Amino acid sequence: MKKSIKVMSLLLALCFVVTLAACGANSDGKNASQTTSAAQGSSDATTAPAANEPVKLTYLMEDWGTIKGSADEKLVLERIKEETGVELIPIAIPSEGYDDKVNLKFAAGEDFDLYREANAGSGKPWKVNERYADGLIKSLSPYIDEYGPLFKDETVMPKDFLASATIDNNIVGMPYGQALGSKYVITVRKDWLNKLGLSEPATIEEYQAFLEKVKETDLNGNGQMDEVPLYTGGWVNGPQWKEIFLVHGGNDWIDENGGYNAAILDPNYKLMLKTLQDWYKKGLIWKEAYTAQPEQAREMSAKNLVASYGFWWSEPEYAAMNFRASVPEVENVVILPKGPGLNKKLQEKRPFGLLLVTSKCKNPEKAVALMNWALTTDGANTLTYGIEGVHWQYGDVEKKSVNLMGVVNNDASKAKYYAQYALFGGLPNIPFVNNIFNYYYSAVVKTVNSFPQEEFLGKDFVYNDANWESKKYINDMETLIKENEQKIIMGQTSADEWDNVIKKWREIGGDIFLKEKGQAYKELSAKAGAK
Amino acid sequence: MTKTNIWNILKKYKMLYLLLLPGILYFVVFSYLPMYGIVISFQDYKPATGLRGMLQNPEWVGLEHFTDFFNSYYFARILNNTLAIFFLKLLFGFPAPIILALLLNELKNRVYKKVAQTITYMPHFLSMVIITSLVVTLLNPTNGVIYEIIKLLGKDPVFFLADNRYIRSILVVMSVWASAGWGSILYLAAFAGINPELYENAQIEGANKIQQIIYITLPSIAFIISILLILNMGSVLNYGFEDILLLYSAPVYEKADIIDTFIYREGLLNSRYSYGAAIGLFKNAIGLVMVLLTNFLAKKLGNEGIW
Repeated sequence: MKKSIKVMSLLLALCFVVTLAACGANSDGKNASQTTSAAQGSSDATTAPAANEPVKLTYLMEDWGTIKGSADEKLVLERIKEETGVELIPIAIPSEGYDDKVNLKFAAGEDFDLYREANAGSGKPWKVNERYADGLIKSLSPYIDEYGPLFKDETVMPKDFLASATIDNNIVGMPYGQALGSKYVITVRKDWLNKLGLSEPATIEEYQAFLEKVKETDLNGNGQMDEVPLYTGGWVNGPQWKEIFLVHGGNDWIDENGGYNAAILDPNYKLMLKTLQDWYKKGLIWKEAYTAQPEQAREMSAKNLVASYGFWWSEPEYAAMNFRASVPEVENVVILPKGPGLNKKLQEKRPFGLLLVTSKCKNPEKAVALMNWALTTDGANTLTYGIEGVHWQYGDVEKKSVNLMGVVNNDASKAKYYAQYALFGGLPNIPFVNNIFNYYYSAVVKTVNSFPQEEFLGKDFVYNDANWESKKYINDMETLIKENEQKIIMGQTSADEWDNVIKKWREIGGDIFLKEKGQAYKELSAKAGAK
Repeated sequence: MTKTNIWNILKKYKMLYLLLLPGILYFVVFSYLPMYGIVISFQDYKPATGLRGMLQNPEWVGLEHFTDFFNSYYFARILNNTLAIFFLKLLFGFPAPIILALLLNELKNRVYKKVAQTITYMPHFLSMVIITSLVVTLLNPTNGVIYEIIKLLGKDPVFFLADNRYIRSILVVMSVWASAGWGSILYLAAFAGINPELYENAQIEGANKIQQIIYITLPSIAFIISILLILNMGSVLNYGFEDILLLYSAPVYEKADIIDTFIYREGLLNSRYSYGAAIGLFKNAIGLVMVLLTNFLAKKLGNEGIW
């Protein structure tokens, strides 16, 4: 008995030691020493890379489910190494949890060199301000002249884009963006409009009539009345409704007394919520908008059930890809039905996001050189489409389009390589893939840009809210608004309650926020006026 | 106890202490050593400053984060929700494995008993993501099973997951379903240790099944019940975050938003790490008080405590 206790205890102690050693594995499934050594090319000041040896840069990469570590992807990485001397080490993070994961990695003090920050939307302070104030990201200004001359080339990098990436005269990242400034749109199924004998809705009343007709007609021909008139994703009262219902279109505004006002104070906000509530009650809006998991939402959307989208511009076309083979006539068109509000598209001229270099990066000049290469035609094409002649070739003499090699109908989802390592997307200079999706995208851009436009108040201003008092109330304020908006839309509360909600919002920090934002707006306006 | 005595005891039972060593090391390395991080609750900590910012040049803010939390507009609500959901889960979830174990223990058919036991503890192995997906599918307001049953009965369908009247019940039922089977294993093992002669004597005395359970079975496992209850009370403010995070939405914040989901939004999504740490410290302090109190009460009531 004693002997067996001895043996067991020794075994257990050994197991524990082995477990402790194995506990060096991080949550990405990589061994910590591997990750550390991978980052050592950039993070270890005492082991500088030898001359001509590529510099390793780790990049927290947003993965839309496409990164597979394939041989084709490795070809692109090799090409990057040849052209820039950078050995890019992508750490793929699923796109849905990307921002949370980045926060966690910063909190844990992990080493990584590059990551991206998405635009929080005009009027909302960028997280990048805070990160810069906290010393988490580097200024790229010292390296631009020597390693990033294309940053200053306005034909490649629009001036207002670069301005959005500048804090206190320091360029803090590489902005990237899309030609589409207003990404939340209203679309309708043109083929279903034709079946119902209706024309494209020009007013909100006609649009509602279309939705009601959809509800009572079996348009997809499956014998069931399961059509979803309107799909909004999880954001039922998105910008696309604010643009047509609200007096200021979802924009902040300065009143006649010079006071700063947030969009939620719009006089028509209650009307908008009441209308959405009405639609929800009538079953015109997908019931599970607020509770479905993203996979369930995508699954529903892919089933030829949805007549209209009030959502991100690409959603209808991604959904249509799933049933286009059996429903070739499917066609989604963007509309802007006239409502009681501004009826203009609020154009988000700020970049879609920034590619940033963290303060832990030991070779920021190489990071800037990489970005500079990504701004060249060759670099942009390589990162987006792969190796010319292997993965793609030009589709026309003027080099305005590309064909993906070995892929039927240029279906990018079937391509051997497509944008896996693109540092950004949609710069105006790169050619489009010749496929239905991009034809749709071109049509969306053309249509949206043809609508009356409005710019966001303080569109170029970068608000630094690091020391605002209202910062500690923001979570409570956002919770209050989100909760009550959703309760009103779902009919759990009367729309008349909105006035009390706003009153409460002001009390718990809204007034302080408006005062601080207004003050910052005045100062930035004065600075901009002085330039 | 003198030094010599302690050393002698260590020498005498060295193998047993060696057996204990991995467990102690685990708690020292993963629970006690990281405690230094608690200091950021009293600082305005910036991750960029690393350990230097935490220990060498910290920006002390005292109790500011705690007062911010207590003054938060939603403090009372989230505390109320946290306690309510905890006590509901305790009320229904604590006895459930005991009742299940008692029922399984009474089964005569061994094969059936094994099969039933296996089926009941299989949900334990499912991740919470899968369980919540199952719940969302079942309660789908357009074509879920429950929706169809309600429609068949001629009633108006209810959107359970977005209704404050039902969300807590859903969380509790889900939690009980997922954990009752696994929890019953411990009790079943304890039942195996009860002397069968006690039951025989009780039968002779004319006790029925219920009386045997009340006077023999339950007292035999009273010690385990009190230990587990004390341990559970330590989790009073930490009881269940994953399931709520995956299932809740803004319409049910009123009844389902708890301290952990608040920390998630504020501490992680809004990058207020010090604030999140302060709330975490508050939670753990309450948990400690509850464990001490429950242990004290357990001993007062004649049961054995943990210490």
